[in-house]
Amino acid sequence: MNDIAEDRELMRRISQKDAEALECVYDRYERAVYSFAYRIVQDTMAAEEVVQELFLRVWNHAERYDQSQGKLSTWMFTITRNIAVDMLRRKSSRAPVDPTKDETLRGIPDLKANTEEQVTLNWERQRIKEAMNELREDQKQVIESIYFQGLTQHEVSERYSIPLGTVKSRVRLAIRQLHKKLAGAVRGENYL
Amino acid sequence: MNNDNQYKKSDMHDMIEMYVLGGLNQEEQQRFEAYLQEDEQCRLAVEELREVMDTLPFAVEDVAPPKGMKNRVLSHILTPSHTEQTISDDRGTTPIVVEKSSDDQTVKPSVVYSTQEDKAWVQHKGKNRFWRVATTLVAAAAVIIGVYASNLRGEIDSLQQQLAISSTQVNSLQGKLATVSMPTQGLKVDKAVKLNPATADIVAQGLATIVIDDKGTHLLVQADNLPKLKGKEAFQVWLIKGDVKQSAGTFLTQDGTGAMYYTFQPEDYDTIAITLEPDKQGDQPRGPIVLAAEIQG
Repeated sequence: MNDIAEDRELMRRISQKDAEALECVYDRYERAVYSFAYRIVQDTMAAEEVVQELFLRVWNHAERYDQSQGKLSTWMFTITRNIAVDMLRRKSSRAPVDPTKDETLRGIPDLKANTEEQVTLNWERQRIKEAMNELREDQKQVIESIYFQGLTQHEVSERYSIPLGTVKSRVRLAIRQLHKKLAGAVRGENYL
Repeated sequence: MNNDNQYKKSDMHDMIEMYVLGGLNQEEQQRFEAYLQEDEQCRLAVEELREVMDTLPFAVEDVAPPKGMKNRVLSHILTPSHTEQTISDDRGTTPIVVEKSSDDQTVKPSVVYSTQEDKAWVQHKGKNRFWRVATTLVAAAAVIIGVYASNLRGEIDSLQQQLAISSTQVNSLQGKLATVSMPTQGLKVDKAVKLNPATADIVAQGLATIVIDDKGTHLLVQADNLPKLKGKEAFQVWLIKGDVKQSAGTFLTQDGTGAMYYTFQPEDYDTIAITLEPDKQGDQPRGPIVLAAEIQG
């Protein structure tokens, strides 16, 4: 049984209130969703709160996971981002994050066992990071502001005094470039 | 109309990247999603870019979760009260095809939660605050109890020390008591003299015995048929050497019989006498001699 099939079976069991299945999903995605939540909220307690809410929704609404929509990780990351961005909006902490400083602050060593799966994951992660790093600074800024801070294109335009058309073009070019760089990676089945 | 559609199509296609990134506001998002229903080419383009966007969460730095997070999260979720509440929420929640629950637009169509669920989330956050406050109070109580327990422990230790000291004292006293209770060892009768009436009208008789043991020299005096005492009168025993009269103590009688015990430093006395004194306060004889005897050196 591959990871996707396993995930679907686990979600089916969770929808039947199988706590063991919830724990399995938790163990499988805890680190990834926590890291993602932390990237957005920039606070350990808030990130934990996001993760808690995420798995509360997984537990209570597992049946809503539409298998046709693809990987469980995609579904969970979408919910994680929604929760985290909502939290940011409620707290109104809209200060832009300095990516350089951010990388330094989160330079916590990975203590996970160096399994083959982890090696593959790290390699894929490295590819995505490299693709992101190859973006221009102004492109990184719009990706950061919209994707990781939850701003709309209009809010980015206002905050950085950039014409809306410029914001749109930067996003368009950035996404196309990422698509070009990562087209191979997204076809990998054993991504997570 | 055709021109309008062409313009709309071009406009919408320009929004694809912004849509998948999540930069459209709510109105723009709804308009775009409505358009997606009628433009398959645009829909396919969105799907393709969405796959790229799905990789972005993996671009973040790997961060180790806080210690104990798993237990906290799972125990919170699996607490029956939360399960019941969220099941109840679930009945009142309608899945909608929007990614953001805020007033912005979305990256891709995905099952998320309605405003009702957002309210539940807010309520849940409130409960989180409650539990944090409750946890803080419990933690504070635990600290207070800990300090109190520590104090009690200290008191217990102190009491135990005192008990240990008391036990030592008890052992010591028991030792002394045992010594006292033991039959006198090495008791030796040094002298025993019969006390004779000082006058003919006195019928009393007595015996004075000097004994020596490891605790010292003792004088034991016993007398019978002594005259009846009146008022504060008392019989007093004297040890006499020449003109020096040393009181050995006083005693009262019952039915004419009395006795006394006196410990003294060994010294040569030549006479022992019992006098009838007006009270017990005298340090020199004031009354008549009742019984007396010479002590041979």
